[in-house]
Amino acid sequence: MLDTSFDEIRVEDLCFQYDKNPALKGVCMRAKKGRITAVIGPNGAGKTTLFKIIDLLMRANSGRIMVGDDDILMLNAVESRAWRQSIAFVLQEPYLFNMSIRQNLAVPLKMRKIEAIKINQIVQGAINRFGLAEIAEKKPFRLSSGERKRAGLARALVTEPGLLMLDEPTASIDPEASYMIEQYLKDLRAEGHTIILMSTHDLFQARRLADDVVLLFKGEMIEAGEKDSFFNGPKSDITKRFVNGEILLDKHREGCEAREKGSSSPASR
Amino acid sequence: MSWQSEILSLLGFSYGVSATATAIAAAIAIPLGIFMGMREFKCKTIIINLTNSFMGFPPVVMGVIVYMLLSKAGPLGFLRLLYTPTAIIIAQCVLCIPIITGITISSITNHSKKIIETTLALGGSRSDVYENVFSENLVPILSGIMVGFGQNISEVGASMIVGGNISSFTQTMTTAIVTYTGQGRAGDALLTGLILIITTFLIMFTLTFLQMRARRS
Repeated sequence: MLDTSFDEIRVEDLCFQYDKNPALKGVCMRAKKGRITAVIGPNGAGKTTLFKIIDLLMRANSGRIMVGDDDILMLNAVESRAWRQSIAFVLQEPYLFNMSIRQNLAVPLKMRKIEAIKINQIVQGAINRFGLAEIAEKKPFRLSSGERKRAGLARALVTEPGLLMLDEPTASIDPEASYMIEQYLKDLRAEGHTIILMSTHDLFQARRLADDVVLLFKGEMIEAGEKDSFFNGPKSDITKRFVNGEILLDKHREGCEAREKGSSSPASR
Repeated sequence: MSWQSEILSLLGFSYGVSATATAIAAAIAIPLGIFMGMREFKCKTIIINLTNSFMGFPPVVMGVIVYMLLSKAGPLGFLRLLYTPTAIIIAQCVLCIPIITGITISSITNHSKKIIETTLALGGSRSDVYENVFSENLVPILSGIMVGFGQNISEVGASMIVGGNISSFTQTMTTAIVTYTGQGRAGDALLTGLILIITTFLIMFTLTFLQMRARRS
């Protein structure tokens, strides 16, 4: 049976392809308890795919994901669910069910068949901790994007996961909500019980928050290391260009050119 | 029988038959729609196109098909169901299934991916996934049931052919309107039509109101 108390997760030579297009090409990385590991890279680098494979929402073509001595890619259906119950994955746009935020927070606890009284205590604790009292009885469609993200993060953390994965946790939300989420993550790191894995293409956020950084580019792991050495002494050219913002700038330029081409083509007139 | 009691009995019979047919159709179509909406398989597009095409299937043609199945010479003739309320329920049920299935499939296909991912990521089981997909799509599924019920209560062709329009036994509001018109009782036909429209409108209005409240609350 899978050991759900773990200090480290190691991804080894992970490969995945959509149809015939490779999305991950032999990715290797590791993340440790009590540290924030930022997986950075431009859009399409494979960050979300990597997280979905770790959460066993997608099946890798090859490679290993080691937790202690167990390769989680070899787990059967029952063990896979046990793995998912021991971790948490917050999607970029967390889907909140059409019920109050209080009820949403109770969902993962009900799935674990926890007693109703205990559920109420845990949920109330999470509401207080994440400052959700004002929106606790509201339904998701009444909330702002930032409030939904905070509620999604709170829901993920009510089960006290050993591994927390966040896909672009502060994308498209206002600076205040972004600051609050960063503070929660810092507090969680300080508690030291959780491996925190987050994806971002915000280099400033990675510098502010991360202890370790992994750069993915076009499905390949380019460079990984501690934040200071990664940003101050990048080894590969791609990392240098990414850290300097050139790759993101190129991507932006490509996007603009594609849009301009589209708007000037006869078909679009 | 006085005209008022005749109308009341017609109302009760029509709504009873159509509600039963819609309920049976929903019991078959909703699980089918959820299953097909959630899965990706080879002929999915063809099946969805076929289901959508059957949404517009003419009730009168369906009536003929069910008639042929239930008639003495037909494969189900031994059941002796032709010209009974059960025959009308069968015909309306078959008409209703593609409507509820089609609406359920389209709603589930559009919304289920995130629900499935979220439920699994929260540690849910397969049954949690189905439960959440159903409850999160309840409003559009209810719309499908309402459209199906509307089709059943207003159709005349199938009920006429397989029910036989037998007074006080298989006559529905719509087939009664046809009879009254044929007998030159245009006033009665119009009044029956009005009662049908008003009652259907009231039912649909109430259901829509409840649906909107469910969405907002």
